[in-house]
Formats: sequence, structure tokens, C-alpha cells
Amino acid sequence: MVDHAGETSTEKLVFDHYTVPVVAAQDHLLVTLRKDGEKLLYSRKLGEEMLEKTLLARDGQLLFNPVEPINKPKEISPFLLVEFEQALLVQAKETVEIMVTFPVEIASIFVNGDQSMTVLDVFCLTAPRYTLYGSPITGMICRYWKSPVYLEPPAVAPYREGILEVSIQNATNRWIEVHKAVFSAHDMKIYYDLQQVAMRGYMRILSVNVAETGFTGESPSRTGFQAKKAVELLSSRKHLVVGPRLLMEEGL
Amino acid sequence: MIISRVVYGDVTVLNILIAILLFTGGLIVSKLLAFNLRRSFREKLNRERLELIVKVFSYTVILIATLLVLPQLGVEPSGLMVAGGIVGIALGFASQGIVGNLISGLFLIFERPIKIGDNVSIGQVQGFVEDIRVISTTIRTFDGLYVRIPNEKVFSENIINYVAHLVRRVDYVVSIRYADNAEKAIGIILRVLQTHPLVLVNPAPYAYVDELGDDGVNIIVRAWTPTMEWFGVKTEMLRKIKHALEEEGIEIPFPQRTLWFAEKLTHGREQGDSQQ
Repeated sequence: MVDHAGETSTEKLVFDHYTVPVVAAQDHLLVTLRKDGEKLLYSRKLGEEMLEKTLLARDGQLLFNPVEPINKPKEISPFLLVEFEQALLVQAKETVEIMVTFPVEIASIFVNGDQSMTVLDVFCLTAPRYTLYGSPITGMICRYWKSPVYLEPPAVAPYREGILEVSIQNATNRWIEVHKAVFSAHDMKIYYDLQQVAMRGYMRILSVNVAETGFTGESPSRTGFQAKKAVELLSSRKHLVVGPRLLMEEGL
Repeated sequence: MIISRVVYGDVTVLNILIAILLFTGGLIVSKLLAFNLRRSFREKLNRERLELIVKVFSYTVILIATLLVLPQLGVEPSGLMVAGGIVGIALGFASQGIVGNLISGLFLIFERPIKIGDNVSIGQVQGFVEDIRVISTTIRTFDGLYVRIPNEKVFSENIINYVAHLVRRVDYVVSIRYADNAEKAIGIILRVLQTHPLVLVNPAPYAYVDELGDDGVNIIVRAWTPTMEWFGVKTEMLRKIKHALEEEGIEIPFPQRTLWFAEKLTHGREQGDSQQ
């Protein structure tokens, strides 16, 4: 863990602990946490959006942590839909490993002296969009993201995009064309180091229009990826309706 | 002793006191159960499901308490079965409206065309469903009025549920001058829509020239949003579209009419010439 100890100069945002006073900036983002007498003042400015909070604590640390990308601009849906820029054809009875990107949302987490944590804020450096998957009656609203399909880890800015490794298994007896993958953010296990944010999912194609998706929970096993597990926001909330696995029944 | 005094039949004052205690106890248990169910499941279940569960448990406790109370009052529940038929017919005639409301209420609860918290229109009443009880449904109108509608009426009226589906469409008619480039205007409108996080990618927003109107070119604009965000998006987007069009020099036309006079108007020009 790199501890950015009490430096008042502006630093680039990295996923790590910062000791008060904190001044972190990235693109149009500026986050500060500073002492004000017996309390701490948190402020975040992103474009024209501004957030300020007062913490009744004398000291502590600020942790920037990638979280499930379903919180901005408000929590509308626990589903993430990644549309592939090019349709992907998967051979019958074949399993392929691909990589796509996903939007990264960042939580500012205040860590008190006794290691208790509280989420101060969640922000996102990419523009969030939403889409409807399926029909207005039986479908679902999903956080939308469009990504090329990669076979090697792409070079992406970790505070904007993460890498989602997907193992696609075609359990049918025919070639299947895949245009998108929908995941439930429940049980989304995100791993990160200073350079990358990543997670591992799977997609099991059951027929031309139906597939099962989910997350393995394992750390991506690429060489050089010093994986650290991110704090999960969704698991701390009570979502009885949404399970970790999702059945895509409205087309692939 | 007064406690052992017979009030009627074999029922003594003590029996009546026990009956009151049992029924009061049942009511208290029912309230406590409802309170604890609401407290425990408020975060886990949506309000409508939670209220249904609370009602089922509360009414079950009250029913059990009533069945326990009846023998104390000299009424055997088995006797009710026989008497129930005759009493039922009499009550049926006497309370047709109430029974109708009750049955409609049960259908509403199980068919669920509306749920607690939904934004609905029932007949002439528009607002949020506050509660669906067995006899009546209560609505909080948009201007904050409490409206109680008998369930029979709810059941027979046309119901519009604005939040029954996941997504809802926002519609605008944007008028521009004939001098403005309609294609450019459509491009600007779509760009504004596509940059809003709550305008859905699919179904995609679209805009087209719908009418060459008296005063300007009318462009229809349609975009889909999550139903719960519809009002916010609708109120926000029109303002943004107007600003974006104005920034690009495209204006909303005023009503105008060209008048042709049979004789040439010279009054104004002559005045101007004389001043020079």
C-alpha cells in the first residue's frame, strides 16, 4: 500500500489510501479532504457538479476504490450491459476467452482510526448511459457501455475503464452470434492495482437467444497484475430480488 | 362477587373481561408484528409487497384473537357455520355495496393493476396510490389532497398506471423558423438527448420534421427514459434543447402573417423622408 501521507500538493488520482490533508485531481475532477478545527471537510468537484460534506472526525484516511458501475447519476438498475462494437461469432461447443472494457466508478471511502469505513461519495469520469434490454414489460434497464472485443488486455486509463475478462462457452451445436453481454452487479468482484481495474465473468450460451452470465469471483490471472480486491458497495445493501447469476432471455 | 355475575346465558363479567383482554392483546400483537415487519423488511422489500405481507399477518392475528374471544362470549365458532348461512344472506342484502367493495378490493390486491406508490389515474383522479385496503383505495393527488375511492369504483373505472412499465416516452414538438436548417436542428436536438444519462440508448431517441406549419417547421422529438425518471427528464430536456438551438442561432418562430395591400403604403416613408 502506498500511503500518500499528508501531502498538500495536488496528486493524480490512484486507487490507494491518502492521509489528510488530501488534494487529488484527475481530468476535470478535484477531490479534497482537509482539517477544519475539530472536523474534516470533504469536497469533490467534477465538471459543474460539486459535493461537500463535513465529517465529525479529527483524523483518518481517504481511500479511492473502484466500485460496481451502477451508482451514477443515481442508482437506477443493478445490471450492466456491455455492447460489443463488433458482433462476435462463437463456434459450437467452444469456449473462448475475450476481454471487454467496462466503466469504472470510484468511491471516496473515509477510513477512521479504528478502521471503520464509510462511503463519502461515488463519482465517475465517464458519461453514464442507460439502456433497455428486452421489452418494456419483461426486460430490464441496464447501465450501458460499448466496448471493442479484445483478446489481449487493452491499455486503458484505470480511473475511467476497467477490463472485464469473459469466458464465453457456447453449449449449443451451432455457431452463435453475440452482440452484448448483460451482468448482474450483484456479486461483482472487482480487483485493482495501481495500473488496472479488472474482473472476471462468464457467459454460457444455452441457445440462440438465451445465455447465463455471472462473475467467477476470481482475480484475473494475468501476469503483472497485483490484484487487490475492491470494497463492494452492493453486497452491503440488501437486494433480495437480484441474484448473482443472470439469465439473458431477450437476445444475445 | 360482581366478577362472577352472569350477564347473559353462561357468560359472566369475568368472561367479558377475558374477551376484552384477549381481543386487546390480539390487537397489540398485531400492531407490534406490523411494526416489526415494517422495521425489518423496509430495506429489503418494496413498499407494496411489504404492506401486503403486513396486512396478511395482522389480519391473521386478529382473526385468531377473534376465534379465541368467541367462546368466552358464549358463541361457539362451529355454531357460526350454521348461523353464518342465514346471517350471510341477511348481511348480503343489507350491505351489497360493502361486499361489492370488498370483493373488488380482493381482486385489486391479487390482480394488481395498481400498487402502493404507483402514479395512476383512476377516472378523474390522478395521483399516487397511498393504500389499497379491502374496502377502499386512497390516492394522494399531485396537489396533496387525500382522495378515498371505493374499490368497486376503482375496479370499474379505466385505470391508467403511469409506472407499470419499465420505460416511458418523452414527446416534444419543437418549432423552428423556415429560414433555419431543419437537419441541423435535428442533429442538435439528438446530440442534446444523447448526452443526457437518463435518456436511454435503446430505444434510441429520434426526431423528424412532422409538419410544415403556419409559422414554422414542426419537429417531433421522442426519447425514452426509465419510467421513474420521466418527469425529471421531460422538464429538463426541453429547456436544454431550447438553449442548444439558440446557441446555434436556431430560433423558435413567432406567429406571423404576411399582409398584401392593394394600394402601396407610403405614409411611413414620407414621414421618414420629411424628417431627413
